[in-house]
Amino acid sequence: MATAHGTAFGGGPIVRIRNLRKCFGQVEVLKDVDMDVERGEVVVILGPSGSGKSTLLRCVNRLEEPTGGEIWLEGIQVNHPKTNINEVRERIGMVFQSFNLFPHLTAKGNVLLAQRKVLKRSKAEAERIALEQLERVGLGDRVDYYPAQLSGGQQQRVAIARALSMNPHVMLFDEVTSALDPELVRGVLDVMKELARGGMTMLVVTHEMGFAREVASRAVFMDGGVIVEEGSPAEVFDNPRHERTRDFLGHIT
Amino acid sequence: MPRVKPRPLTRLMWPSALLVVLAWAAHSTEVSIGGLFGAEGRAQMGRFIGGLFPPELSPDYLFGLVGPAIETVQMSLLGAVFGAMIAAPLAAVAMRAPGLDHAGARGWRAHARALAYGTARGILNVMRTIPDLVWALMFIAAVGLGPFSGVLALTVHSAGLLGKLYSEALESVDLAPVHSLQAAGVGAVGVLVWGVLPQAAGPLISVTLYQWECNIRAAMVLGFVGAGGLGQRIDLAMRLFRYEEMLTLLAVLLLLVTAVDRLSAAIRGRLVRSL
Ligand SMILES: Nc1ncnc2c1ncn2[C@@H]1O[C@H](COP(=O)(O)OP(=O)(O)O)[C@@H](O)[C@H]1O
Ligand SMILES: [Mg+2]
Repeated sequence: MATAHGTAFGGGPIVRIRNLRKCFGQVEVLKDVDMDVERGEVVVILGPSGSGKSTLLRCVNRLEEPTGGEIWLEGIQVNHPKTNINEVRERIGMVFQSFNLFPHLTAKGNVLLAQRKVLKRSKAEAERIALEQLERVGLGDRVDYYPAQLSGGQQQRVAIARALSMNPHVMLFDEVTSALDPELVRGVLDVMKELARGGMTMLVVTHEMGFAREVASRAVFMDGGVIVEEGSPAEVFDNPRHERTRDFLGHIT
Repeated sequence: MPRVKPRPLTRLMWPSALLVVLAWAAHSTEVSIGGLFGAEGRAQMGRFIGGLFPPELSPDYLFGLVGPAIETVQMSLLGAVFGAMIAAPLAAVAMRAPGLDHAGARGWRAHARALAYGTARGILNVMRTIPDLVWALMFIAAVGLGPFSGVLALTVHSAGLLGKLYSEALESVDLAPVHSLQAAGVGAVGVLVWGVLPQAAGPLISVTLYQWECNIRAAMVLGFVGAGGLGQRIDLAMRLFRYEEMLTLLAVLLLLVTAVDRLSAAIRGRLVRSL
């Protein structure tokens, strides 16, 4: 049994996915997916739209209920009926494509909320951490701005700071730069690169090849609900073994 | 693709159908211009309007209206407040929140949730569809004549309306940030309290105040069937052919309704702006 902070969780992958299946009604969206993520690994997941990338990430923190198979986080089975899912979610930071900030709260207010309500941090401590994390994503001078007063890129960085303020053990990124104007993408990617260098375990759905080549320890190509191939970014991008991977890479580059 | 122009005949179909329905409705409800403006009708109207003047303005009479007027306001207010208290929990259960449904809800939990949802919707529908007047008659039968029956009737009817409006307000919030709370490990109650409610606060306050405004009018009508307040006085004046009191009563009614409208609009403006 792992402790709440996972420090006592020694060996084995931090995320372990076995025979994961997910159906929406009759449609099987994930078909028997296996994946292990080691601590500190940055796994980039790519694949055509509708291939099940988001669903895979959302199964990891059980925002979607798996239809079959097992998902483990630090030795706790995420999809076990007896598991308190909120304790699992505390350890997983998630960043969405659409930022998902509360419009009525400032940048700081957004970063404070879950710290106060979930981790029960004191106001002073939560504020200190909020400022620290906003500083870290380069928004030290925007803490009192409302989302509407921030650019998309800045909003996304607030969302990253919000996730980081919870001291996650794993971070999930679902196409976090897809909704951004091209000139704003870099700022967000830079923050993510920093995180990766700092040793954060990350599952990143993205089509940013430059980012993937630079920081990914592994690239995973999905299509039709299965992992078609995986390997180092160089292997997958430069020498794809499968026709479908070649097709896809040909389309996005 | 070029749009096909409807042929003239088809174009006339709906208007003529509407005319037929209206004519039929007017006939069955004995609508008659003659009845209203004919000699007989004119005479009746004349007597009534003539009787309104001069309005009863003696200090004694006016002073006697203060009590009923306050009672009417009290009825409307209590109806709105109690109604809101009943509506809030029902609305929380009767709201649909895609993607928020407790990730663990499987098997019997999912069924329990569906059952609770259906039950809450059903209760709200019954409370709302039965008119407040009918509620008042039922409560009068149960607890007797007087303002208490009026308060109960307004409470039930307001609860039904507010419950529906509340659940709509809750459903219309932006769920995206709420999902992020859920992903951070906030439980179902926390998600509602910290994620949904703050975003819906404006509309929730607005519809509650609006319900109060509607209740003051409703409270008046309920008086006619004996549920207390100013309405009961109007009913009495009509029955006793004291038309001179009618004009005064109507003026007081107008005053009350306007005052409540203004007050509620002012509160609403302030609160919603400060949110
Ligand atoms: N809530 C849902 N209900 C029904 N079908 C869904 C739902 N979410 C996703 N899907 C379907 O599952 C498939 C995979 O979706 P998704 O995981 O979002 O793919 P990706 O992120 O790779 O674009 C798609 O065909 C999508 O239409
Ligand atoms: Mg997706």
